[in-house]
Amino acid sequence: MTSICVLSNSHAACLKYGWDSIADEYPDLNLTFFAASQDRMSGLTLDGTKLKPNNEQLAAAIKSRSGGLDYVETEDFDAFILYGLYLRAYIPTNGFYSSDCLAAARAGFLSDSVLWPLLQTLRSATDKPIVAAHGPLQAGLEVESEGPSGQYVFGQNVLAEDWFSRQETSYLCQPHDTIINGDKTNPKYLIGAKIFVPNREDDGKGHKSGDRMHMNGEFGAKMLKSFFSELSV
Amino acid sequence: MSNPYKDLPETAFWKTAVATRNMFDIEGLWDPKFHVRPHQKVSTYGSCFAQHIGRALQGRGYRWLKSETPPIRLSEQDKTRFNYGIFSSRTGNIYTASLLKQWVQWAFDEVAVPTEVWEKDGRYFDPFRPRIEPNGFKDVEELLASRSVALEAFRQSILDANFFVFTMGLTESWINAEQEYEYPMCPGTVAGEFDPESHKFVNQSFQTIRQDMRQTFRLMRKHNAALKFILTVSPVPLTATMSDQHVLVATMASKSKLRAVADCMQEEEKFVDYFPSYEIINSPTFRGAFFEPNQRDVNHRGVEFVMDMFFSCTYAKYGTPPTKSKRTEKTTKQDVVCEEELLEAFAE
Repeated sequence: MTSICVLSNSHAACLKYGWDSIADEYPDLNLTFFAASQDRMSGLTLDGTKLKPNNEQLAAAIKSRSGGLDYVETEDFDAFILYGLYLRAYIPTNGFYSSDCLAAARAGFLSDSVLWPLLQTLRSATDKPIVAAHGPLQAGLEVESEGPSGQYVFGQNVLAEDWFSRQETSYLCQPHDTIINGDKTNPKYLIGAKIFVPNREDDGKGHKSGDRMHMNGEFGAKMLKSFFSELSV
Repeated sequence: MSNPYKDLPETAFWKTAVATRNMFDIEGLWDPKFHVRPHQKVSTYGSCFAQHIGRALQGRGYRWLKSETPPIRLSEQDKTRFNYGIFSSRTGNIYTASLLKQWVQWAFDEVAVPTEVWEKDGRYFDPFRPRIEPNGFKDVEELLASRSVALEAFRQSILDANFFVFTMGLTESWINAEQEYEYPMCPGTVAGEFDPESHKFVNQSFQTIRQDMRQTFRLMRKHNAALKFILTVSPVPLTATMSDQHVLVATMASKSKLRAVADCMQEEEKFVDYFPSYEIINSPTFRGAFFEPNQRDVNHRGVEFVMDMFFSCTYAKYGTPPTKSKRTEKTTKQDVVCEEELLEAFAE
């Protein structure tokens, strides 16, 4: 049995419901979700090999989504998935900039997220495989073209090669077949998207009307398969 | 007895305009020649003090034209480090009228851009923007590409602007003796190496500055016939002088020349106005209250007072704009990018 730790925010929902739909295809995998909404996962602090919540709100969120665990014991897992956590797709500005300036911009882009500092903390605790990806691209209104733009692919390649590789981490694009109009998610993945907040009244209910950022389980399953493929599991 | 002084307004008399007023109640120092409307585009360039004008315009809901934009997600701190949003494009400080002329001639292909670059410890520095990148460029190709982008952005900021605000800062300049182009900073101070054979000091005369300013404005209006200019003179004293005079005397001499040129330009040309930021900061009436303790740097209260005067005089003459005004951004010393201050390091 391979145990995988998923660290995410509200976007954990699509992965969770996606996992529910494909778990039978992976009988040797076990996924544990550690998630809290918005930027609350920034409250995870390293204590030896453990990532522990530093406030009660985060502790409660971790406990409810992980099935009762109080913290992440990195030694209990074989691999880690970091998803969303306020990391957006990096789509570079057109135009010429010096390499130093671009490096500064990319450093700022990453450090504004919760994912990047959490990855650095996690990497300092474990040398096990880690895969990461930005949160879902905003859903487009209608399909004008299919697939990603060159700028999108270039931007993710830059992050993967120049930044995540230094953390010995694989950084993945959103699956290309979910992308429309260059850098948007196909709106069909909004249909049936649900909240994942166990022990709360709104668990399993739909996101707020007009939400174009949170995707459904079908999307999550595609994302997970992409992570699993990278982890060769 | 009738005489022409009888019909003059209060502002024409020292007693009523200055002596009987608290210094902060002095008003009407400027009678703007043009109505700068919030939707109109304003380009700003010049010496260190010019940086405050663009930010203040933007802070009040005016359109500060920034034709060279930073890459996505560059932090505010790094924007300043890499000189984005300091002036309308990344020219660095343009201290003299002749430097402005040089940039305009390069931007409109009147004169070829010199090929000189400076190298230090494997990094490359632009002699015409020596601090534009905090650690120089990685190679010559990157430097030249960046300069081309800046030149195009500078050109665009002239073509697209309704108003061009230029703050005149210095008369002392450094020239390449052989090819006669000008450096914004003496080689060997920020970067490069000083060579007494190649690098010539020139303290520009009133006549030279006036001629350069006229030629430059003429060239700019050849490409944008509707462009109007607002001149200011930097109130900031010289950091150092090469004139053999005491720095205080040299400062007064330089500023007097610049102020006189600005006066001539606004007298002679209907498309040129002068805004008296220099007087507001430097007049004895204000008792040095707007200077930092080093008696050189202008404090943020001074900047705010100057810019409040700019807008209050505009509103008094043309009415308050209908758009909601935003509060002026406070400026701290750290926000200001000033190459010339590096000369202070050479004071023993």
